[in-house]
Amino acid sequence: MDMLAQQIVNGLSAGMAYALVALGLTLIFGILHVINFAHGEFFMLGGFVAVLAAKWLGLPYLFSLPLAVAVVGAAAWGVDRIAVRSLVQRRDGLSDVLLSTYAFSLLLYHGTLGIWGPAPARVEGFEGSFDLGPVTLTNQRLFILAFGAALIAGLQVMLTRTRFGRQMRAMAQSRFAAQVVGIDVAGIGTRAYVLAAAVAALAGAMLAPVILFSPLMGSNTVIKAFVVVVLGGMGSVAGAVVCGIGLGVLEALMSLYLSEGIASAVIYSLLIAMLLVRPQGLFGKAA
Amino acid sequence: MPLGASKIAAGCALAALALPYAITSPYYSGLLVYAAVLAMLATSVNMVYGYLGFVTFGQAAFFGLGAYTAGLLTVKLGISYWVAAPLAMLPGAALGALVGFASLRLGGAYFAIASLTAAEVLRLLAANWVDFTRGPLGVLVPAAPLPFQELLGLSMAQAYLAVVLLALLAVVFALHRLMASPYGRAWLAIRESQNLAESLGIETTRFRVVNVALAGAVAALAGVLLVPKIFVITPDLFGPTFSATGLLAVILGGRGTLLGPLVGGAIFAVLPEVLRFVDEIRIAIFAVLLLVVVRTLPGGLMSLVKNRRTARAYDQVDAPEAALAPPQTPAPDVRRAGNPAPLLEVSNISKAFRGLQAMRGLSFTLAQGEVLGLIGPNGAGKTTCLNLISGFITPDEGSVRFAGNDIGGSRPSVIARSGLVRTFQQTTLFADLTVRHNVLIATHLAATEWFASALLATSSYAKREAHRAALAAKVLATAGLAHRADDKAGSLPYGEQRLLAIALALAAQPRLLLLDEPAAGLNHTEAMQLVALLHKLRDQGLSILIIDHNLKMMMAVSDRIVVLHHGEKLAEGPPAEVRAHPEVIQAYLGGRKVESGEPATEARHAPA
Amino acid sequence: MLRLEGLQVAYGPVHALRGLTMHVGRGEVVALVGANGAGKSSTLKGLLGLAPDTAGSILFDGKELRGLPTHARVACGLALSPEGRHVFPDMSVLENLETGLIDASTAMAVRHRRLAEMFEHFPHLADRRAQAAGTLSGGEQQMLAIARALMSNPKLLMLDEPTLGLAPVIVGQIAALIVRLRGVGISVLVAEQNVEMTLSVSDRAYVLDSGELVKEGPSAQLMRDPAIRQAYLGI
Repeated sequence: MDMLAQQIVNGLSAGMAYALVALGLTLIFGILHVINFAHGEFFMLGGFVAVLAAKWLGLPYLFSLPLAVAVVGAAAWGVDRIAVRSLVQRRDGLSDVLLSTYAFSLLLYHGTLGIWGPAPARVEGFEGSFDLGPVTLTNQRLFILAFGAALIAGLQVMLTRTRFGRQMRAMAQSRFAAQVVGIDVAGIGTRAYVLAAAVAALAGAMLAPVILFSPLMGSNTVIKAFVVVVLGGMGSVAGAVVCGIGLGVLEALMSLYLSEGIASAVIYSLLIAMLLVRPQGLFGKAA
Repeated sequence: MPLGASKIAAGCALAALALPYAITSPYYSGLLVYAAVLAMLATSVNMVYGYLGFVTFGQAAFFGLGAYTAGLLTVKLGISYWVAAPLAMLPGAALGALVGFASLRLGGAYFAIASLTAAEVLRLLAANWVDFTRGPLGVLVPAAPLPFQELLGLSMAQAYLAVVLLALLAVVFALHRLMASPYGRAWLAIRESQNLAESLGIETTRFRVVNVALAGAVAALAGVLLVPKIFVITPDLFGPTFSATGLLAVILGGRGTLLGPLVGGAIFAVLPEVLRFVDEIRIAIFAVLLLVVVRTLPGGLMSLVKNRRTARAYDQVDAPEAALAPPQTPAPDVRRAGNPAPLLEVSNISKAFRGLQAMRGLSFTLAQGEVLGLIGPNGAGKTTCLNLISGFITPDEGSVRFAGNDIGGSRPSVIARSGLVRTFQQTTLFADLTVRHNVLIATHLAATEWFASALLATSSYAKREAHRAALAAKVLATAGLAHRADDKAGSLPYGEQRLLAIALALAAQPRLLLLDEPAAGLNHTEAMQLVALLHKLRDQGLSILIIDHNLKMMMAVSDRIVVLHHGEKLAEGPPAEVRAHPEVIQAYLGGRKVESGEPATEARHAPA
Repeated sequence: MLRLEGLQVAYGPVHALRGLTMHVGRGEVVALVGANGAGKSSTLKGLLGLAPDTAGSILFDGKELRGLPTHARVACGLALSPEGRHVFPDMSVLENLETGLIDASTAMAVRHRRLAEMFEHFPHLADRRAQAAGTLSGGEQQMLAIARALMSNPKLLMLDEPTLGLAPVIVGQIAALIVRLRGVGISVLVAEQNVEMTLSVSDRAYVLDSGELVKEGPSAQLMRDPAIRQAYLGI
């Protein structure tokens, strides 16, 4: 019973990371109506910046967070300009962006592999832990939960109460009408893309001390992020958060009884099942 | 289909048999095998992505399935590998058929994600079901000699190469045959516009299933053929690397072409060897290539080999009697000329969208051999009415009867098959294909085609193809587009594009033709030419229901007119009656109630 | 204020507008009439950069608009209520109006005042300010689309088929609205199939047919012109 509770608590922090990554993916899909295949690599790069900040620059962990945002944000800006912005409006825009961002995911992964090599790396985050009844919570996990929740809340506030958020929502509902009212759709699209990447990077930087950083982090996570987005509904913020955290907990519970590989296979099968039964996901609207 | 393809194939077969004799180095024969395998994998991706239009990130699912099935059958049953090999195509086909069915629910993005995930599930199963598959250690398949190798004086490696090359040739040739047949034409139609395909009677579900099942079998075969080279079957055969390689090879080589995947596959097999010195950045180079192609060269390398043939591929029918065989298409309604029963009966149909009542209790009939015009101000519900009749939307209430049968709720392709064919408001054509190819696609309903006869090009198949070609030629002549047969449909001037849209509908041999704004954007001369064409068709026995805003043309072409306003019938009758109808005038010009002085206004105008 | 010279709009091979020359003066209401497919919508969309303009020039207050992206043209003082309304369905009436505010620097107080003014002009919308725009009736959505366009304080308001599919009583309301707008000095360019209403509220009109200008002149004159009836009903 205690083990169960511990697993759930651990799963929550992994779930928070999934939620943040899926959030960015679903945001990009909702606003630009394309799938960003490079998203997993933005997550990985966030962790990578945390590693480099500690090992090469000797900075305290806290500094690696804004650094991750800056570095990955800049990279995402570049990816957007080359692989997304001019392709979005094409007739085959969806598949073109799928392929071009896939190309970038290869470049980013192999670039990282080239710089760092395949070896996983330990990053030190917030050390220490405390007991909460029968479960032990590390400070890093607590940080993930707290900061992650704050990020999600902040994003929600931004979406609902700021001009930028309103412009993004307008674009999601009707790109044409957004143009008509004078919204700079190309510019907002780029900003949304960078924002989503920055959130994924933060998730990567937060999670790196918990799991070992490895260049494979990205490709491992991107499919899980797709599972979350499909289960939650493409374009649904609530769906990404609920299903992300749910997936983290589910994975943690399953790891008690199943090997990691089989657990993943079960989760992926969930995606296929959902697509066949209810393609719009739990929170999405039917086409 | 270019004449002499069989001769080319025969020549290649000989080359495929002869080549292995010349290659004695196992390194080169192994490299050629790998190139052929990748080419075959790329071809299977091309079938789904290039010809059908679905991006697939998971073709390795079939690839690995083929390899594992053959390997496990060999090891568990103790039979020769080459006996197990052909059987291993079946699971690939079965999984493909399932995926084909599923593709109905899954649009482009979802299909890509689902395919990626499916391959991952298989990979994880293979890696973790250790009892069955030996997990990551893999299945070791002993080398198996080929029965004929001693006879032909070939070493095992050479015989293996010969088999692989011949298999690749067989696949490519079979695909070539299929692309020249109604199957390939149906796939292209689905890729360009599912709605247009359905409206021409192509049952999109069936053809999607056949396509993906075949692609699955081909990918499985590729996996089967790789095994003797690698000896150990491991879970990475299901992995994203192979899926990605297949997809990248197609994009680089040129999707939607027969040779593109072959070129791409060869490049992906050979380039790593050539680029060995830059092994670390090999993938980076591929990624950059992919980016360049997606951004600037969507047609891949084959598009650089720009000749007329690429656009004209598969738009000819290889049947010498094409010019002579007259199509036996009776004008059905001329035979039934005396039949008083209405051809189309719309009774009390209603439809609401999101709370907005678009159509309310509409009823009218259309008699055989008449031209019925449907007019009304913008937003009156004319296109909704057309969609309801042709099966693209289902009415909430009421019924639609065609030739006595209730067609409400039937799929568009079924309705088309029963003789009711429509055109679309936006000019929907297969823009990148030639005019002739467009019309050939539309002759789909002319005869049912069996898969085997298409593949084997039997003589009865050839007769049917000749019949289709003759029908296509006749339709083009009727529409006055015969001189455009070799031009790309997208390059036609606008007026001719609209004519082509009608020609496509005619090729489906309708009894009732539904035209959705055929005169939109036409100038006066073109509109009057359209009237002449429609009258000619009516005199040949075709019934026509036409919607348009060009009232001059509508008055000239229609035998009777129904006026819609706010989703209801406002008036009905011969054109002269309708246009003098006070409520109709009010609906169009809007505003003031009509005073009794209206007849005086009429008199002011000299008769046209 | 607005001057078009030889504007052409083409969607690929389709020539929707074949060289239109027209102008709109300050404080004028100008009508673009013609049958469906005549090119009215293409003109308005081409003005805003929402349709591919292939030749000609668009001068707005002396500034050439061709080549500028849509959001830049809106910032110059043009606003459009598009054909089919295109309100943001999942946003409230209030939020829809807020999307019309193009000036980021506008202070909160100014924005509130602008919204309050708008609700005065459109009391129906005020009653429904929290309602999701997608659930409004056709007429209410049309009012919202126009109000949204007015939020940017435009110099020229363009209305594309505002009476499309609407009941006669709403048509009357829209006509009254146009008259009110002219009264407060806003220039209006309205594209409509409904000839009677449009000619009765406008100063001048241009008649389009198959992408070409066939007639122009003061609206009062055109209202009595048999050529208009000819163009519409083919009689």
